[in-house]
Amino acid sequence: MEINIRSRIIDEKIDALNVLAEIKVGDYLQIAKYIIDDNEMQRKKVKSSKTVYSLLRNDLKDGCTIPPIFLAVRKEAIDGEEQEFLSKVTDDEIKQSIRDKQLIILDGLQRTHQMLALEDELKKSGENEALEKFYGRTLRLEIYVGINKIGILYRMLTLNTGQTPMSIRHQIEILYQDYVTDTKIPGVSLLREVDGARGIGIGNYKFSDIVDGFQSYLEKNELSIDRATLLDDIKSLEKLAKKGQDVELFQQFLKVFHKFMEKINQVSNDWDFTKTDYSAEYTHPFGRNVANFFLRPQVVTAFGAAIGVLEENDVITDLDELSDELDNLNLGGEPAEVYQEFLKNLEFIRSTSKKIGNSQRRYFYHFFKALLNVHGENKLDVYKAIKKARQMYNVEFL
Amino acid sequence: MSLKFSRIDDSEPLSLDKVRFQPGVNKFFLSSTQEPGDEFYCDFCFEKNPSYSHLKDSQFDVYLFHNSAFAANDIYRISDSKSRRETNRGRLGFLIPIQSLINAEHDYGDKEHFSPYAYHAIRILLTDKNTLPYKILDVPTSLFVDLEAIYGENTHVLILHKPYIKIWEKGHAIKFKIEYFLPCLWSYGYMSIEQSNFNVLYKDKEHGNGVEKPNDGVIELTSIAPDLRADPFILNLFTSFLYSQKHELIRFHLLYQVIELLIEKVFQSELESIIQDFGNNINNFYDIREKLTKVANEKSRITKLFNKYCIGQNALLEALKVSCNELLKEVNTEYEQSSPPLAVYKTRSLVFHSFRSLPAEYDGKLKVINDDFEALIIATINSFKYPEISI
Repeated sequence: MEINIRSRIIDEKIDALNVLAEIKVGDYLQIAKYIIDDNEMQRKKVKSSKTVYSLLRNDLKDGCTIPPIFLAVRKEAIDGEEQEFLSKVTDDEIKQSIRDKQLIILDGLQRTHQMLALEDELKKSGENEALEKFYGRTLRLEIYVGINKIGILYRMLTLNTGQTPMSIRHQIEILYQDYVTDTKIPGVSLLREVDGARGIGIGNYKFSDIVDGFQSYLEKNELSIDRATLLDDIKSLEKLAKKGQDVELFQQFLKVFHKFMEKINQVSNDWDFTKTDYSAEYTHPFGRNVANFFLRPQVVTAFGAAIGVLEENDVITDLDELSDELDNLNLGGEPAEVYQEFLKNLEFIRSTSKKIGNSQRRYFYHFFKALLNVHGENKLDVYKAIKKARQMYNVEFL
Repeated sequence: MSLKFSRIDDSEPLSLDKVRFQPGVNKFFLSSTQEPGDEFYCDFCFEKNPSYSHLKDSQFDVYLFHNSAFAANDIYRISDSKSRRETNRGRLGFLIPIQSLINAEHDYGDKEHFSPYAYHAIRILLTDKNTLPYKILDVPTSLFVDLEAIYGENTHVLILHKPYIKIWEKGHAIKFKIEYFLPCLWSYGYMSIEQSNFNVLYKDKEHGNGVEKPNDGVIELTSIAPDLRADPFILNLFTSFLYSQKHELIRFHLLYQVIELLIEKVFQSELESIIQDFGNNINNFYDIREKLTKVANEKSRITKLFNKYCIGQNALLEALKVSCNELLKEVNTEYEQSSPPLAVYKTRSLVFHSFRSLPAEYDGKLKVINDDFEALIIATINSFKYPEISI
């Protein structure tokens, strides 16, 4: 496999190394197939238009130049101290990580699929000469080598080089997929859909829900996420990207969420809906135990949005500090009484709201805003935050 | 028939004519046979009950209605007591907000009998089998088919099970037509969505006028009276006029037109009866002349309408009398009327002939009159019946 490194530039904004490389199409397709097969999220094809993309396939056959494909080196591929690595990594080490397929495709997935489709077409029609010519064409790759994923996300959005923009959710999923293997947070693991719902509990969270929560944190919006929406406020992402140069934001988010889950579980004293004396009053309780209650997607996204807003308003300056503050979380009353108040409010929402899911998210957004506002009167008091949330919900909706 | 999506770079829309359900992931997948490749999806939030797997889309009829004042939990069983059998307990189907098809957090979310209705309603919406009106959106880059965006966030799906409709038809000895029930559904705030009004209703975010919701989660389907089913004005009233005309004066005028229509029928019926009487006893001339004079009088015909042709509406008549008298007393204390027909007639005369004497802020009181009037009119057109002729 022949790979030529043509240029290396440090992107000082996002602290990543940008490498321009050239590779033969045939070699790239071998890597691409592996990357796509290895990663279920990369398998998703974005919309195809019969007109534009059949034109592209014909142009590829005729030898057109394709814009560079953007790749990123996967986290586990980087050895040692990241900063040192970036300045000292050799061309050979970069080539090796390409050969070892330690990559994810950030942009160019559509083009990659069309190239694979053309390869398939030429093989089936027996056009061996055309196939060899196609394999022998030169393709440019731009490879980001760096661990600041928010920075990469920011760069992708500002450059917007894709013909079909990838949704921010999809980009987040791709960038942080390595957390499924290892969150680097003791006692925390992320589960995929295929791993099933049974394992979900304190410390075992659904990857897709955490991604939704993280996206809500970035967008400061808890509402049902339109998966096609791009981040509107690039400026706020820029602010986070600056922050993300020193810390891994996704990991910080996951840490503080896990801390909240641990603490709420601890102070709730094994609250179990089925063992309460009001269980007959609710045919559709929001949750039956602490994990079941707080691990619903509506709650995770509301959590993300609330801390995003509190951070934007400088009420919270650092998620790690918030994690420490959570040591002082208290229920504010007996578990049975507190959760009854919660259930009462959520039942009201369920029976009167037009869009139940959105209304629940909004309620929990107000709950977390009140709870985690470390300067507020309801600070870290669950019972007070429940009541405040209902007040705010009434103002908005009634 | 298939859902279509528009494309920026192609004048030909993308037609998703293949719809399949994948049980393991509880999703519907849509694709195009002409252009295979991308598969679009729509979630199914309920448990698909295998005991209903024998049911087919062709065994259901789906109609769309608009109502912007609702909660996602406002799901109603459509019922008819005459169709009550062991199999269906009088149920013909369900009226479901589209919000409640894409979210299971409501009282029917885990109900066994509801799931097949939800399943087939969604399939019919995704396959466009009934060619219902919808908004053609751009091809979704996320591959997610959003029913709410396609059909409208204030849209409600009326899904009826055809075998139960057959039972209804047997019991009522007529063919079932949804048009017969539009006034009944209107009385609960639901307006029929047609191709002609879809775009207007799609954008309508206004909250309704506070109509009373059905009791106990059931809508008892009541039909327009047989003698009025063919009348185009009555149908247009509930598919167009009452929705598009918001001004209270026009609303009163439209509603009173129904009274005019009905008292014309009363006049014809009474006249026939008088002529027959005259034919039977030619010496009764002076009596007959007096009857003729009386039946020509509008006030008298309105009284006869509610005493002989639409009986049993006393509560609604009383409520209307009270609201009419509120306005009449404000104009002149001596205008207060003792009976509902007189109160309606006096209000009509005031509005049509002495508009100038109405107080400047008549709107509020006229709205209360119209709300009561509308309820009475709906009950009247559903109960109108020519009296039995005694031989």
